[in-house]
Amino acid sequence: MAASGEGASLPSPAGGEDAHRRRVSYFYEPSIGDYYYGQGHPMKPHRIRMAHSLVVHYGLHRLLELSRPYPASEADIRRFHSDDYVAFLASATGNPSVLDPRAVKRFNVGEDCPVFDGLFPFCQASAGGSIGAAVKLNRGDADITVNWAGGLHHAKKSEASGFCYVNDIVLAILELLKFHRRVLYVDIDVHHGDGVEEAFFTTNRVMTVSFHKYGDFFPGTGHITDVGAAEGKHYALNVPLSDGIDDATFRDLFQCIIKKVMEVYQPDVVVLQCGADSLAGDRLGCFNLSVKGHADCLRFLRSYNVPMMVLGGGGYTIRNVARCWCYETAVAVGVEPDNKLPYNDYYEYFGPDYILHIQPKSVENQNTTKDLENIKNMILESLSKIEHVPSTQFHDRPSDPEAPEEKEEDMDKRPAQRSRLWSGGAYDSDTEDPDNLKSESKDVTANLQMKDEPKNDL
Amino acid sequence: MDSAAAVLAILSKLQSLGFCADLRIPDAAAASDPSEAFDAVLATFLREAYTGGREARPIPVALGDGRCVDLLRLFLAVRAAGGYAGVPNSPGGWAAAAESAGVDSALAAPVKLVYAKYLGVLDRWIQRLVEAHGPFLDVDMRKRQELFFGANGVEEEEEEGLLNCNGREQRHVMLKRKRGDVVGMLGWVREIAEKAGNGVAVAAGTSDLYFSMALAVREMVTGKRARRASMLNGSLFQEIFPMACNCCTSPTSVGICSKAKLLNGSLVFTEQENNLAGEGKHGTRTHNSSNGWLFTSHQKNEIPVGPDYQVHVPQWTGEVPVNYDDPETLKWLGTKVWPPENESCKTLFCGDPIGKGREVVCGCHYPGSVECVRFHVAERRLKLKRELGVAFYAWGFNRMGEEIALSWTDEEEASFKAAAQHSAASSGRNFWNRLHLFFQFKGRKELVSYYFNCFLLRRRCYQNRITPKNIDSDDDEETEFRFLGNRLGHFAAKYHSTKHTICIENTHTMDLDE
Repeated sequence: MAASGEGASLPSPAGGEDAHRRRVSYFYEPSIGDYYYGQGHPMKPHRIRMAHSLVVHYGLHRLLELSRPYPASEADIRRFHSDDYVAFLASATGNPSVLDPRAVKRFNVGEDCPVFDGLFPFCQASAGGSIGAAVKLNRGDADITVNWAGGLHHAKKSEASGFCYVNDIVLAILELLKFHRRVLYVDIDVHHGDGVEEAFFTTNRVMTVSFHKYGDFFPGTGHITDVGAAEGKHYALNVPLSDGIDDATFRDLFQCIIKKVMEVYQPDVVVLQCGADSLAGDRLGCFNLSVKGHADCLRFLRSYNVPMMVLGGGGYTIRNVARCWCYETAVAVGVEPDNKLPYNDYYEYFGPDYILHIQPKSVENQNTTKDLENIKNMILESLSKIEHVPSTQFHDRPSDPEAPEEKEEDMDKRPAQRSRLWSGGAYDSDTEDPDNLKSESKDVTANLQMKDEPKNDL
Repeated sequence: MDSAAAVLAILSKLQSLGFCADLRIPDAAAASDPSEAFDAVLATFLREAYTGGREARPIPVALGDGRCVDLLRLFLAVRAAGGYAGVPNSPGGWAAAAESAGVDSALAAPVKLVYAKYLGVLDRWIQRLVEAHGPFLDVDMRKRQELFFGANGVEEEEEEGLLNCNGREQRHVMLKRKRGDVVGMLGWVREIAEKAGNGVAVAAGTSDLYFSMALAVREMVTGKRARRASMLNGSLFQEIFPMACNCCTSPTSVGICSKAKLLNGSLVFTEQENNLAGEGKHGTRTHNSSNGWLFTSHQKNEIPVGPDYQVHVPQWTGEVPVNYDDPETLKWLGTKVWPPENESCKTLFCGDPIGKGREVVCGCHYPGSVECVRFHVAERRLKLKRELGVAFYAWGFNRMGEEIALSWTDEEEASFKAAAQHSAASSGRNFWNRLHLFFQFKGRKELVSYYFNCFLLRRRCYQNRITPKNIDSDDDEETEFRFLGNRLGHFAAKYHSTKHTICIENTHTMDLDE
């Protein structure tokens, strides 16, 4: 059972090329668990340390490349955030009495986003890991990069929000955009990924897709009719859901939508925010997903063989967060770990069963078939608007003064393993009809020939 | 007068939280019999706080001997003593509280029970408000009256904050007015809403001075909710009102929401008629589809567009950075910890298969006992240290788990526990301040580390064996310290020696039976 050769690594639709294991790079800052938001605050960076302990005790590190992130500097953070906000964060101390009350109000620090001891180094580590993960992908050093300290998707340009101060995701995507024409951002946190959506609301180089609880719920954005603006119109997707959504319902919706997104948008790289507050029994969440159901999202996206960045996010029942992120690390490297947890430093946190997987709760799934059908149709309709844009949008090279011959040569020189990374269409070993999907992937592979692959410039 | 003002202050606070929205108590009624008014407020509050269908408790409350407990006086007395948690520390304790409630001081115990059953929830809400916004009830008269009559009290500040300081949308300076104006406006809106059936009255109402103010306030409130919603409070509301939004979906319900909708509806109507306010940025758009609430009744919060919100994304040129190998870029790769660069690769493959869990059987005397688990965890860590080499330290495994307690003396651990217990008694506040007083030579980091690596771990250890159906490591405030009162629960997790293994479960069970 343990350590099966290729684990979740799936056979390739394009003819066996995908049999290789993904090169997975994982960022971990050892001091992350000691940051503390304050008494009673549900956000606990300790969960990242718990996840790391499980990862290592399962022996998954032997399939990973692990690095300690370089802390992002003020200047790096200013690539997205406003100067005065960054200056405030950098100078803020754990002592609220010396804070300027106007700044507190203006930057929305306070109850949800307290100014705690070590706040700025915490943000630096989180952002540094995600930017590092982007650089790894840009360099072609890894197929999948992981930073569980990242995924803080609520932070705005000049404002903290929802326990997030620095939006590491936006910073990482900006780095990815240096080498990748189109970035797909997928968010399965129970809360709407508003900070990322807002930052890229008017561009078509980043498509954001967020699955979240909507209706009397933080942050209040993420309505299904929010689809982006200006050039970014139809490049933001919102999937509003109700309480109690279960594995099967979520999987159907996720796979249906993502399949279409991959087909239509053909991203060069995918960023997945794995907020674990969509798990059953979360202290702040209201969904009913199991660890497996949650990780199925990663498994599905991984099967496309597009370079991928996997980030953390919310998650407030910390034992389940650690379970989830450990299992997802295993999915990334293609291992199916035993359900009986190995003895580890935080073993007692996982009692009384001491197992990896969690049972969904017996709560009502308030998402009716009719609602879900409507959601699906509206999303697919919005996506069809993209399909109808002139094909030049996606299939032509950008107008470029360089001689095309040169690029052709570049493509020939491309290292074999890089070209294998993108093998096109969707498939899933359990639920999808392989024939159906194969034909689909051929279409995509055709487009691939025109794709820019700048990696050998390195 | 004094207690009447208190009743009205409590009511207005509850209404600010969304409770008792339909309840109105005229000043005269409150003044003539404050206790009765308080009972009415309490009854409504309890009904709404427990939507789960629990039978309403009978009010007024009579003790065994037939005497009634004056809930208002009891509540005010207890609040004055610092709330439920504070009474035991106040002079006279519950006996004094009983006397103030009009019953014999010998009946302290039943009065305490009455308080817990009837007023506990209210107490906690009030306590939260006090902690969030400062005292408004049980301090001095002056403040209370100021507050209530809208002088320069806390309330006013709060409201101004709400209206003016959106941060992202600093508009509507016109709203910097006295609170009295806002109250007047609200009264006006209420009046209009009541006459909503009468179109003439509504149209006439729009000429009122309050109209533009009402629109602006609504916009600020919805805008604020969108931009500054709280993750914490939002979910708190979810817990208390699990069905809160359901009444929106049912057209027949006559709850708070339908009233709010009516009010909102009349404003939207007048807005369209008069075209005064233009297009509200934060959501008056309604959706006409009939696909259920997801698409209809909720107000939509729009995403702001502009250079203050979006990040600049350059056009794709097809050209990629040429000097991507410069130190500025390579720094992001961080410090590689694994796989180790120079060590022999043999160590990599000596461990268990990747993904392997724990063995089902072990040779311990009492498998699953605390001692058994400690033994296997220690064994596991030794193995890991051998395999990882320097990475063991680079990832901070030497600072993980219960082992960090080795650098703490028994006395220090006992003090930590005492501080936790004390804070639990005063509803979990000031825990860290106390710790810092106790442990002046330990840094914050060390204390936090002990808290997560030992303290919580041991508490969970205890829960797993004693209350396996009720485990929690995430809610510091409510349940975190509840089980620490049991001395054995803590000491059982302490490692004494290897000379014999004790089956801890049995000890605990016996202790609980006592």
